[in-house]
Amino acid sequence: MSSLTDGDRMHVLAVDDSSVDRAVISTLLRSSKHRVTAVDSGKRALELLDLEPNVNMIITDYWMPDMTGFELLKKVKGSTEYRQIPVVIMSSENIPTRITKCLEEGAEDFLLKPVRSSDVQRVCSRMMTR
Amino acid sequence: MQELKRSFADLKYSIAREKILNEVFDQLYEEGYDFASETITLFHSEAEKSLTELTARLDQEIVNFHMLEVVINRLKGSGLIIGAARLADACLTMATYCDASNKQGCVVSLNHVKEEYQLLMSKIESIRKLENEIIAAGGSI
Repeated sequence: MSSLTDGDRMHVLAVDDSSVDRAVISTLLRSSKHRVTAVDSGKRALELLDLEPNVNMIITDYWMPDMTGFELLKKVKGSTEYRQIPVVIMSSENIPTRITKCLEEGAEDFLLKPVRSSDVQRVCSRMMTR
Repeated sequence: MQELKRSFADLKYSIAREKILNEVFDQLYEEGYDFASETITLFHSEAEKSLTELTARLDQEIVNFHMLEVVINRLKGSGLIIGAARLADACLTMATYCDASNKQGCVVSLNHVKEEYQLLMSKIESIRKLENEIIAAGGSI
């Protein structure tokens, strides 16, 4: 993962199979001046990581067809190339065992949907001070 | 204009009282009217596709409950994004039946999801109509 520069502006990869959720999370991130690439699946997220070396954070939905956000998290954390990229999981379900599982697997945070501007700002601020 | 704004406020109040939309809906407008409008349009488009897919999947002889659950959770998530509390609750009920692989429960709860969705969209349409009237009369939202 590249170090954070460009005036405290991160490149965030947003992953969600819902076009509504992608639009909202992208807008919230761009409002905080971050660059966003939004994709609709874990598979596309991994393809993008191969093409774009400068992703500073991944924010992914949990529930997605084919590859869940948890499976994406495992693949990222299991990769020597990408394991340093912080991953944040989003879900509309507040299931403590799921949250624990994600955090134990290396997720930086777990956000409950609907994700708010304050959630995004909090998470991004923390990433930028790492 | 006063009359329009009063009608608008009354409509928003009744929708909130019936818990069809919660404060999250108003928060969408904090990012701008265009953003709120586009998000609602996206939601509508995606919800229609999700409901069509759910109906088709339940019509299958062998139901893929995992995929049903994925789709209903997607609808629930996007409903929550726009503050559609009752729709999200209806989706949660269906998700529970999906998790239990209960086809009959899914069929019944999907009908309820559709009813809530129709109600939601009719209210959103009323909101948008009044918004347009206010804007056309020179007011702002």
